[in-house]
Amino acid sequence: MTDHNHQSKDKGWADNPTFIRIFLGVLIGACVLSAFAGFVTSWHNPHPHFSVEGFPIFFAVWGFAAFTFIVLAGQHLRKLVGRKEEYYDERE
Amino acid sequence: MNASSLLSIFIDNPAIILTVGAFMVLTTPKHLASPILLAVTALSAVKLYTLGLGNYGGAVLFGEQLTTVRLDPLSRLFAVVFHIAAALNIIYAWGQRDRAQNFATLAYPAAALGGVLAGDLITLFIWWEMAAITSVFLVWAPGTRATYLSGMRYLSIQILSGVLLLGGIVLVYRETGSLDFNFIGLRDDASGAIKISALLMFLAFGIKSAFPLLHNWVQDAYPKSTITGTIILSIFTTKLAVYSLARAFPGTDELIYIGAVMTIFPIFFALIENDLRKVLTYSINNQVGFMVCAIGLGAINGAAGYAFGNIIFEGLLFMALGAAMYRTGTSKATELGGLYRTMPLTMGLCIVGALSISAFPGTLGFVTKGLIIDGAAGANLFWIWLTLLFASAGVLEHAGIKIPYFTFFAHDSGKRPKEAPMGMVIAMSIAAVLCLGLGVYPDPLYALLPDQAAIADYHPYTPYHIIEQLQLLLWAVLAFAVLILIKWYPAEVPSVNLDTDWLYRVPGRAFLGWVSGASRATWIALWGIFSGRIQALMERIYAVHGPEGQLARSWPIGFMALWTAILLAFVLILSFLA
Repeated sequence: MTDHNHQSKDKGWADNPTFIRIFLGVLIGACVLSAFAGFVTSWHNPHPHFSVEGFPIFFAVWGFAAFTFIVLAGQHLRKLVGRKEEYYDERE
Repeated sequence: MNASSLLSIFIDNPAIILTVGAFMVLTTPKHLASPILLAVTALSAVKLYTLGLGNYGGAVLFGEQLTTVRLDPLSRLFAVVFHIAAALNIIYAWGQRDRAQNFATLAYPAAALGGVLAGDLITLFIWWEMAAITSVFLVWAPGTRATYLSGMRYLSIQILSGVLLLGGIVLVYRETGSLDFNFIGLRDDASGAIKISALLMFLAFGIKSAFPLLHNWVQDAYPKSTITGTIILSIFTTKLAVYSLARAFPGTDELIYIGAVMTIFPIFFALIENDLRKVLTYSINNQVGFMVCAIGLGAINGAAGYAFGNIIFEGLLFMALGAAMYRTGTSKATELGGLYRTMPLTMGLCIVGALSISAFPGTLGFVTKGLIIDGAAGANLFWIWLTLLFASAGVLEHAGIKIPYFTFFAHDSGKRPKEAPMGMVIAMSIAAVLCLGLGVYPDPLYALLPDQAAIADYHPYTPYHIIEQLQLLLWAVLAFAVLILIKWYPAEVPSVNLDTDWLYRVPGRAFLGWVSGASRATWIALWGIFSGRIQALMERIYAVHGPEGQLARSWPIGFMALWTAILLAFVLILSFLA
């Protein structure tokens, strides 16, 4: 038990605040770069199928919005279909 | 049929080679099982290579020509990836001694391979049923009551699919007079009405590819199997169904919308699911949705290429999660976490799978999924295109982030397991090398795609492809980071989530229980009435004819004298009249 508690407090490299700061910094930097790259018209799809493809940060907005919507809306599904773990064990 | 053509049916069919190998390990020493399985898979792969494109193993059954092996570009791609997957599974489970599982490890892929290679519908049907029967041993492998019940449900649904297929085959044969397994099409060319024959086959394929509302056997059965069993199950049945749809129903509009729904709804169930193996089974639904949509769009390169890629990277995710489960005994997000400290190799390989399934540039997912997204754009279907992009963000959420994050990072579970065994690490490493190697240099995969004319014009690494994908994925990852930082990302809770299987596991089961109780009560009541009547009748007969009955009493002499007098009088009157 003592070992377990001791181990639980181990700080691995991924829990190091410096690593987390660097990771977030790189992520934000990459996001900004990808958004800026969207403004380079010569990198646009030469044969766009939809007008939204011409909007430089359309994919960034859609990716961010879709992910946020899935997480924020999806978690409410649990209220409808979530049951305790033994639900089927008690019925079969 | 002469002896040489009969022999050709057996030796020219890689699926038969694998099946024979599966039966071999039932009798050979257990410690030799894995080397034998791998050697037989290699032999089958060599056979596949030496055969080359063409038709083999022809046979005549009741006057109908059968083609037991048809190797064309579409079936070749699936056959190749099935061999890769079978070999990876064997290496992953190296040293496994359970005979039933070792048998199924080869017999089940053999059945799926046989179905993919089938050039006629009878051969397809035989392998289709073989796939159901051989795979159920994997569901039953843990040997608990829960897995027994689940296996029976699984088998019932798979057999239902087989029955629908057989019904479809009979009707198709009656309509066309042909048993060839080629384009069938859902609608009649002339009238545009849906053909019943085609609909039956469409539903049979739909059950096995887990169309929406027909999907839940996947979540019910797969995660209950053993660690290695779940990985094997995750690959073959749904991909055989995808192949069959691509063969018989390419360009069917209905598939576009069915596929689009398939990509969306599992995302939400995967989000709230605590059992990470179950999360990956929802991921199978979602991934097959992309393929089904591609088939509907007529983008067969996209469907086939993505099936190839998915088998590798989804398999890698299942393998990494399986390794964590092998070492910790659980696959629940609430009980895992923090394993990166002691399982760094598995963690790294899992992240390669996660990047690949999310379709980051440089991975197998990127070079194959783009074919489908571009297919939707090329067809000018704006809402489908937007849906597939939305679903791509969903894939990133449940397969790209949730699996590695909750297994290896998130809260520290305090567990400090050893690194995965060597066999598992080797299998995962090969899968990861394929993910990255074919991601950077997809030409060998593209050379296998069925529509070479279309793929010649496709270039995945154009600036706009890369920028679009990076924007979509990086900003979705940013959304995840923000939601975690502001603590809006929902915590995992130990729970079970109801899905369509609830209908037959609870109310369906209760209804069946009621029907069986009611029929029993009705039978008892009817038998009571019937036996009561019979008893009353017997009592009446006994009362009349029994020893004490009226008809059993002795006749008095006077009664006989009276009757003699009546008879004499009758004769006298008769003779007087005459």
